[in-house]
Amino acid sequence: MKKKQWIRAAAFLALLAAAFALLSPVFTPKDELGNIQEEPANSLDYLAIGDSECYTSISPMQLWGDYGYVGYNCGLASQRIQDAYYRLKKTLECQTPRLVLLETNMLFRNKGVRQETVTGFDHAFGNLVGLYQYHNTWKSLFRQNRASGKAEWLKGLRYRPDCRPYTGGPYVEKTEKVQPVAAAQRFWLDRILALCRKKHIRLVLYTVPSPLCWSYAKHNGAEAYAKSHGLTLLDLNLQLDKVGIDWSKDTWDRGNHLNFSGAQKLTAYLGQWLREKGWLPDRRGEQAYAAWDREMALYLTGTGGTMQKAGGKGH
Amino acid sequence: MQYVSLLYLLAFLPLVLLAYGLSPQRHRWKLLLAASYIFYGLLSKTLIIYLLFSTISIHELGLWLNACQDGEKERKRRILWYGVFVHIGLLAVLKYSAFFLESLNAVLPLALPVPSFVLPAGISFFTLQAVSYLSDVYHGRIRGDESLGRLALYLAFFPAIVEGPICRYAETAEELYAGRPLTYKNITFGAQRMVWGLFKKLVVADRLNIFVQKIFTHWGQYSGLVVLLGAAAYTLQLYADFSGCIDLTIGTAELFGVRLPENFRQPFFSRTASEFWRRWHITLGTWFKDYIFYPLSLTRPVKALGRKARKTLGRRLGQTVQVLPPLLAVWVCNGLWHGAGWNYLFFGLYYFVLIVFGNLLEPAADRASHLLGLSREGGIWRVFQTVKMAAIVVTGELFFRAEGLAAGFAMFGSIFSGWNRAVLTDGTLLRLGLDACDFGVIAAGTLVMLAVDLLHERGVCLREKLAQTNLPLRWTICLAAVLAVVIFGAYGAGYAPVDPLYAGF
Repeated sequence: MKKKQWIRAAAFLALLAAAFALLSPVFTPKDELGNIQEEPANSLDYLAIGDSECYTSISPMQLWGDYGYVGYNCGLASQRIQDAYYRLKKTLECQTPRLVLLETNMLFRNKGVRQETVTGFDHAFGNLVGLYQYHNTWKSLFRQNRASGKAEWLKGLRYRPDCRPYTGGPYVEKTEKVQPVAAAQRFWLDRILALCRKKHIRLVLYTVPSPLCWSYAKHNGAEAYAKSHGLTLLDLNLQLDKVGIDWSKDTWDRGNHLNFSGAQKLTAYLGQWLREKGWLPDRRGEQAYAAWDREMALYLTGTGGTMQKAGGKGH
Repeated sequence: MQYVSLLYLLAFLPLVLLAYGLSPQRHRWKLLLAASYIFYGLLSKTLIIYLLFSTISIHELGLWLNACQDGEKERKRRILWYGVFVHIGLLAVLKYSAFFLESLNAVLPLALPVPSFVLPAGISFFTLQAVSYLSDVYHGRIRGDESLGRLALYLAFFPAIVEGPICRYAETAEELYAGRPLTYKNITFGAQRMVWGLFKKLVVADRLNIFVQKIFTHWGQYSGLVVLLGAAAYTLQLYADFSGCIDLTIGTAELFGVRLPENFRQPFFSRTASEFWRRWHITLGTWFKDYIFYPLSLTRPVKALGRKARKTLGRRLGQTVQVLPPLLAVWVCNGLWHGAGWNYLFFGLYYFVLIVFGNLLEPAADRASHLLGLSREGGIWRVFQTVKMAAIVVTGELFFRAEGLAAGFAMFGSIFSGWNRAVLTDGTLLRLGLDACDFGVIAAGTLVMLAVDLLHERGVCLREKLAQTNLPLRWTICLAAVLAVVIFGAYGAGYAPVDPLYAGF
């Protein structure tokens, strides 16, 4: 190829890159991170991140009502850890939490080295080029009802009051077997940890009770990572009595996820645990958080007006 | 790593291209070979052993055939048959043994254990290439290659190993080995063809996937027009997917200055079933013609049958009878090559019957058009033939995609019951995984494909035309094409990745 042709090819690629750069902000939705962007900047003290196990487990409004803790449940369905990393990074541009609670189920979402490399590359490119990641935004131009329909007062919790019991019996059987966190997930978890440390945020790993997703080997894998990095692991599968989980009432899909009743119990236990740790401030009564009281009323109405107090068998 | 993944398009391929461009000409084929084995290794892991075995064995057998003297016909034949037996036998065991044993268990009171093998990617393609190589060496069309590397590259060339096209050694090996320099024209033309392939695959084929999957998976819930639309949608999906992947393959090869054989020539403009198969998956059709049809036609029993049939039935009918056995063999192989299942076998026999009857009815069609005063080259006859072919192809693809032969018949039967035109307007179609925007994109994409096929049919080379336009217009068109793929492609959140459909055959 002649020099002129090289220059021409480079010019075309530059033009293409410019088109991507110009169109990316147009295609990136204003609410890229969801309703958390409605929260005032630097107002949240904790964030919960993870997949659907996360968004069906912690109720931020309950933590507010009981302890005055302000935070958001950022869980997303089938979220992969690399996606969680990029979303956390973006969230931390407008929030300065003291604590990040990371649900561990996504540490074990591994599709093998080959597929992880492909999706990792995809995520990295998508994070760089909004046009690629949000290319489907064009559809919203044709939608009549653009409202998300998500209730703001749930603060990220997925409200599932229905119940389909788990009938499989006890599932916690101690073993020395270890299912280690795979290299790809460890890589992204390391990055999350580094990000949190850089921003002086405490990272806590927590595991939601789930007979279908959890195993003792996974617990051992998560524990090994936590120990080697000086992190706290709160595995609630080992605290079922204390949390008070009753599998005939507290799951909406036969032991995969908690339902609202289960989430209430878990949140109550978690709130008490957090109070003992003393990591988070009680914001009740502060003028800046008056909106939380108004949203609390909506929350109580929307969820049937009941509040679960901490009180499993162990309390 | 799929051909449409970012890792392939933005990392693997550019790196290989860069390394190729920087390498001395004599080492370029080695680079392509290394890239091909890395690509295949990532795709198939330990199953790469099959490719290695195939390569080494045809290399050795080719050299044995070279070493045979002119008078050693029997020895040459034994070597050829040994090679064919090993390759086709391996494919048969891996791909068909489960189907064969399941069928045996179903028919006879047996309970034979049914094995389950993982098929190496592209085995149906590289096996045919290996067999064609051996056959060509046996017939003296080519010399057995002394270079193991060149032969390995011919079998493993990374853009073509998953879905073809099925290349011939005489046409492709030297092209790959030559190590041609990168040229501006090859790179621009190759890239344009790749973008066109991505458009067909990502914008049209993958967007249709959920719609097709719903109808064919839950076929018992649908009938009438919905099933017909499902079959038509699958036909379009298969064409857009396979021809799109082939465009991607040929375009990639073009970047390196390698010309691969075309696999499609506007199949939906065909007038007859046999013409359709001369335009659809061309390299498979020519492979069957050259390595099954002709050799079988020249066997003594078939020739004797032809002589006898011509004597008793006359010249025309006799000729038709003579081609029946080789034609049947071709279509049985065609059906089974696509998959181990009764529906695939039915698919092959379906075209066998159509082609035979098409030949037999040709004089009657001539008379009918004459009586009706219609020219067989005229517009009305042409429209009739196009509609007829569309019906034939869509019906064939319905059986091809159905989850078994019984499901195929049930779906076909259900088209004629529960016919309700209201499904087009009452929102039924919008409950099948696609919204109005998706249908709009599919319709627009299909129109673009139709327009391009129409121009190709008229002999217009669009890339040559584009090269002749002024720079601003050319770049605007190229940018628009890339952006159309990026914006309207069905990938990312909300879409399950769709493996190339023909990679599964």
